[in-house]
Amino acid sequence: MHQLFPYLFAALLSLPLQLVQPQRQEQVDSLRIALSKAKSPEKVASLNLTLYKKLRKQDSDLAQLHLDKALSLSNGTLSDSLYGRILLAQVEQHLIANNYDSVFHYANKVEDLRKHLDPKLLVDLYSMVGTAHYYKSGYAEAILAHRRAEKISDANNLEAGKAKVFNNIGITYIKMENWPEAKKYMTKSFDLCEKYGIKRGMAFTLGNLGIINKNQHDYYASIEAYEKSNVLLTELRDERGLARNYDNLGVLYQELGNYNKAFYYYDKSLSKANEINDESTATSALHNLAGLYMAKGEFASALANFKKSLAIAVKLDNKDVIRDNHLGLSQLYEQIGKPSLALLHQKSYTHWKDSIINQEHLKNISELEIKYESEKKEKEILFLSKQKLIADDKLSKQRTRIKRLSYSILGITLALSAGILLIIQYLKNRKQKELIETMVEAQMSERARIARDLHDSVGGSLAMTKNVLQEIGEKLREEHPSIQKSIRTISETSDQVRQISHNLMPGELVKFGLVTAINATLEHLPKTSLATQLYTFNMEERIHPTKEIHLFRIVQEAIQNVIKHAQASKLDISLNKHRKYLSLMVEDNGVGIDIDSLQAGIGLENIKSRVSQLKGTFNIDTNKGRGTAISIQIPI
Amino acid sequence: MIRIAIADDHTVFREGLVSLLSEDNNVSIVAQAKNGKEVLEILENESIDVLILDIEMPEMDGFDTIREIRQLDIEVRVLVLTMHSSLQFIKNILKAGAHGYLPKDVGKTTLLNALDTIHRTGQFHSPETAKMIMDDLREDTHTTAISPREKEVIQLIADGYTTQEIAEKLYLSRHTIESHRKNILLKLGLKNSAGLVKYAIRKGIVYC
Repeated sequence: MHQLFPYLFAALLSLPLQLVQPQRQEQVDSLRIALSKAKSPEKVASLNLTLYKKLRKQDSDLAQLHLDKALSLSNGTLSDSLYGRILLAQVEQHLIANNYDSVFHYANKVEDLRKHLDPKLLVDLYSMVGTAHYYKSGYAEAILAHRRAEKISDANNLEAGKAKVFNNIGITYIKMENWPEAKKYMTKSFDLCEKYGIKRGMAFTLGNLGIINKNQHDYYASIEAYEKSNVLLTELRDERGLARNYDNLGVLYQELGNYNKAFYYYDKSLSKANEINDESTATSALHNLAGLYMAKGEFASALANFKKSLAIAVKLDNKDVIRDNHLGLSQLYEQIGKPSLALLHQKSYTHWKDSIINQEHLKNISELEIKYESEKKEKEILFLSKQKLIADDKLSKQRTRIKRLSYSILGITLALSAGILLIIQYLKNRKQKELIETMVEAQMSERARIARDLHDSVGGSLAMTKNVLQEIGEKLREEHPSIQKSIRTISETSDQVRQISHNLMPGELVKFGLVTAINATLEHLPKTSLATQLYTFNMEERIHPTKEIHLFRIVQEAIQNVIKHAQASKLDISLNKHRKYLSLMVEDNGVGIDIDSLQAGIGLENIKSRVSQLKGTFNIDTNKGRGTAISIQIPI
Repeated sequence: MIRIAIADDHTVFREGLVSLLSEDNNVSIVAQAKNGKEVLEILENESIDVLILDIEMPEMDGFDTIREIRQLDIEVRVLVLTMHSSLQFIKNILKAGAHGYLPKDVGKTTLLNALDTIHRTGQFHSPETAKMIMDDLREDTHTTAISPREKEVIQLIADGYTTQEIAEKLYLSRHTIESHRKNILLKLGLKNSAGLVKYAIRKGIVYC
């Protein structure tokens, strides 16, 4: 029987935990009166910010107006601390509105003012940045930001605040399906919530522990966690949370083969969701219920529930659920012998699947500059493959442990076969590693091919079109003045194509290797006061293409870090090939990189991740006002 | 009349070029090729004055084609017409033995001018290209030289400081100094620091 997609809800505690209290109108009124009398910009901005906070949960539009007003006053006239708090509110608003790039934009501004802000606010800042990365599926960045929040909490004894931070880290690991880490952090979060009596936090973390335990196949622990969570949610009258937990419990029991219990919980989730008009949970419970009916062979009920779920999903425009319901319907019709209807829904399924992918693509393209995007993607793959290696490693260790235990019971006679099995395990593991390496390499060569095609094929055609148009344009200048505009557009497009292609994979790197590519990069740096010099030795012969690409990206990242953060006037890069390894050194004479700053941190993390991918060593010296020296050794 | 062959793997581009040049009475397009191998075949059978050559082509690319033409000592002027426009590429194109270079979006007038110049004088360099090359030549780039930082380290080693002391003096870690030291030994072909001191004294890096 096909396992349908269960929907697991992970409760996210990204925003500061606050009890929702309707603000008394008198309080708001008195603030308004104070605002009408206030003169100094500082006072006006401060009152507007307070009003924003009071109104945020009741009337978000009005709240936003007050925030805009506060923001409009803040060109250099406000104190750094107030300006920082206003910007932080802006970060919060953008996070709620899902404008993640704006979140990052304002977060950077807040970061500049971090010395003037209460550490508690910084914890909120990094939590929100992490949450934005999480929603954008940038899990590596998310964890980095959350860790930063953790560090600040530690340094300032903000133990209670760490409950939230740990939960966020745990949820990110859930998404990455790194269950042991997820469990570690979720448990830490639960303990803190318990210590400080944060009941809602306890309920959420328990629900999340339910998800984690289920995925670790520890079903009893999972049920126990859900049940504890349910008790708390009932106490808190969180009906929405209950409906979700019931739905998740249904999935769990279905997986255990206990259809009666599964049915009971889906039904309970559904009636609760209907009660409070929570359509998103309802559509999920209906879909899961339909799957259950199908598993039991009750096709009529399955059909009715798929259709109900689909109708709500369409209304909510929840594309994932629409897609999955079409898949369910297609399989259902196939089973009851209606191939034409099955085909119809199969087509819809494919359509929605593609549309989801397309939509994501379009969003990506419009949201970010391609350069950033393509590099991020590469990093993600690196990170994921690293994560997978770690996961594989852990899994294999676990298996090995179980095996060892049983072998000792069976006696020494079996030790030999155990040895053989271990070798097989090892070989399997090595094969997996090789597979991942091959995948990364394939991805890189594919990218090189796309870059070349874009550059030569698309670029060439554009260039020729421009030439021909120019020719015609000379003759028709009088009649069709707009032709000049078209020529300009083509010229710009051509430049963009060249840029995109170059960012995907620099032609110099593929054709001539590392030294030429680095030289080209240095040439193309914006003309500033930074004097750069590349020293090379023994680099005439090319090295392995994958190593070249990694090293090139490392150098790029290092240069970017220097330009953005170091305020240096001199940058020396040296690249020397020794007998067994390659030495890369990047030294500048700037102010020293603040490793704690988020941007520089991400850059360095990326460098480290690539170095470890190449099994190399990494060292950084940075002192305030004494420049930065990065030294890397890569075995060859 | 200049006899011309065009080599480019993109049909759209070749056809565009043909239509652009066909109106001119001074040039005649004799042959077209999709890759380097076809170019060599054409050159064997036809007498061509100027070859308009793309770099990125399947089978045999522009660089290999130019090298082959020089190897076989074929009498033809090569004008490379490519999408690549970075200095590194241009330098490599000219090093390989091309007689001229132009980016693909030059426009009719410049292209005709280039074909004429290369046919009459044997080579063509646009003012932009010439400037890029000259600027590059003027810049003093001793990339294999010892870097100022390395000289500093040599000096301190010769003065008898330990790695730890050098690290402290330069506000760097032992690890970084150690890396510099190994790089210096590599560059100078020396085995150990004692050899380094001798070398430094001989070369006058260190003032005794």
